[in-house]
Amino acid sequence: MSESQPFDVRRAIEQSSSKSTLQELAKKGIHRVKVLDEQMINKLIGDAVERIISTKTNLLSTDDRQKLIQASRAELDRLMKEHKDNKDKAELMEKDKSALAADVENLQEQLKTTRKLADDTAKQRYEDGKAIMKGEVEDLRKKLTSVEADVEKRVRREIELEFQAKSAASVAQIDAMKQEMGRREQDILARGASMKEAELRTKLDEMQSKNMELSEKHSSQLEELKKSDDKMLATLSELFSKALEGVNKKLSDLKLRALAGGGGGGGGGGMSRMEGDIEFRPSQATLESLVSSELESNLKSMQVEAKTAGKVANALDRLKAMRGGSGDAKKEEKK
Amino acid sequence: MTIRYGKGLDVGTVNLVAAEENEKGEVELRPKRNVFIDVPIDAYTKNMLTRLNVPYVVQGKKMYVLGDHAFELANVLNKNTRRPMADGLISPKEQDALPVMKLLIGSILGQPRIPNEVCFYSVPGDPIDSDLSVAYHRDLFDAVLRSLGYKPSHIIEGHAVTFAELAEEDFTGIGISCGGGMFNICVAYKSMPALFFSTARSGDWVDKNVANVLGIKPAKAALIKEKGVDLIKPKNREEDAIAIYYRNLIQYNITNIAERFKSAENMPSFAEPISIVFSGGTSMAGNFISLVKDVFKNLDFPIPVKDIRMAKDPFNATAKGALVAAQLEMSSQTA
Repeated sequence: MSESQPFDVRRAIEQSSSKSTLQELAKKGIHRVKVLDEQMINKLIGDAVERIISTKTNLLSTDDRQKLIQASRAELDRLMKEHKDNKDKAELMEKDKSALAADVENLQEQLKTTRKLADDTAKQRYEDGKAIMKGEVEDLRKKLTSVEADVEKRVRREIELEFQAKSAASVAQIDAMKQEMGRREQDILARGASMKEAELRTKLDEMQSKNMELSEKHSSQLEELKKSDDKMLATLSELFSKALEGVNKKLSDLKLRALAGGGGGGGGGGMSRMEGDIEFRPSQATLESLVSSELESNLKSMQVEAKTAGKVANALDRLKAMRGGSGDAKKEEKK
Repeated sequence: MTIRYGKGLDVGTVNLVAAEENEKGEVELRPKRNVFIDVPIDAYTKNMLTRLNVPYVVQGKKMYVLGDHAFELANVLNKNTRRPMADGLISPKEQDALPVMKLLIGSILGQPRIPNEVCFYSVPGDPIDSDLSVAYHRDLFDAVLRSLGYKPSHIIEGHAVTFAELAEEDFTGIGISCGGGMFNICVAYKSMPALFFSTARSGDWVDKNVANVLGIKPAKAALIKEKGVDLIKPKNREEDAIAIYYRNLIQYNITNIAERFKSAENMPSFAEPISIVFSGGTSMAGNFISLVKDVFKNLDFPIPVKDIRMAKDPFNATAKGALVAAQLEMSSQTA
């Protein structure tokens, strides 16, 4: 600013101040502000300079005083300009700082995203690897199981073959021993048979000679017996004819009895009662004594379960129709 | 619906079966095994048996478990059961068992529904291969049923089978009851028994022989048999033995029956071929009828046969037939 021009307060204030909205001030907690206009500020500056000059420069002339005031004003302008430059620089630095902060934030976000991605990728790789390993482990297990089964089968087969070989050898031994025993038994039997044969031959010869003696004795006795036989034959034929008569009589009795029974009572048995046979029939007193005794029992208090099984009305009706509804059946039974 | 009174009782060597008709006209059946076994006599045993619903009876100083529980206990303890009956009749070795039998019969028959309700019980025909007498057996059971409040009457076992199974054929044919002690055969013509008899070889004979051969108790052999055996395709050693003795049993009985028919003088002559019906526990073995048919093929049977079959209810046919006879008798009394 040149010395000739008056001090532009408005411009100086605009240059050395920063703008701020009311909301921003309110955010900062400033709700009430003092307002100065250009005229008031000019006055305040003039008053301040006058006071300083008057107090500090009482001995100065008016011209000196004016020069001082001008120098002060120049100094003030210079300070204002310097302030404005500083302020511009500060604003620039603030902008740079904000930009840097935003960059930093971006970079942090990117870093975060990158880390997350890396984690997910690693996790996925781990899971995939695990699944693959699991499959391989299963395959290995199956192979192991089948190999074990094969080994077991082979071992069993070997044991079986070994056992069969041993048992075949034992069976062969047993067969050989059996054959030997059979052969020895036959030897013994043959020897025994031959011994017995010789004994029997001797006995036979003895018996034959005895027979000869007896036959001679018997021939003489036979003649005597023949005579007595003829006698006995006559007696026996007499006895048989009498016995036959008796049997015939009994048979005819049976027939008559069977016929009289209507084929019913006599229809049974080949062992029917014969005339003169004794049949055991208990007396009434005996029967009553047998059935009259009362025994201690819990049977009377028990209910015997009944089950139903059809009807017999049809049979009864037919029977009644056939027999005329009378007691003919009973009479037939009793006969 | 009016109840038709009268009861039927199958008095078998192995099983007792009572039959009566209920208000719906259905036949109600109550079976009970005809066996008992000795157990220690003390208060603890009595309480335990009562708690477990096991029937027992105290006779003098002895205590017996009765019925199906006795059979099970015998198999568990590997003991023999005691049988009040043998070969179809009251056992001479078990005279003391008559009161026990009375209890068993009383438990399945119950009280008479009306005074002197008629009860028909089955009796075997006279055996052709032994000299057992049925008269004593009949007298005893008459006394037992009278003491229970019934009016007793009897029916031949084979005849009862014809009542139960030959209604559709005018009660004409042959009924064979294959019980534990006997085969009971009856030839019936229009509901009248023309010929009846029994053979003393049946289920018990098979059990005894199988037990001897296998070295087990007869009760165990009976248990194996009752579990179900296919006589044509036995599965093991035990079933093989049962099949062999069954074949022998069938051959013996069918041959004897054929011979008896041939020698009988009072056989009716049938204009049409007839049916032969088999019933009884012994006939319930698998393929029993097939084996019978095999034997028939090689036999000259004196009666023309159109059909050989199993009863619709082989286990209960005798009881049902006896029930029909009792109802017929009751209806004739009220008529």
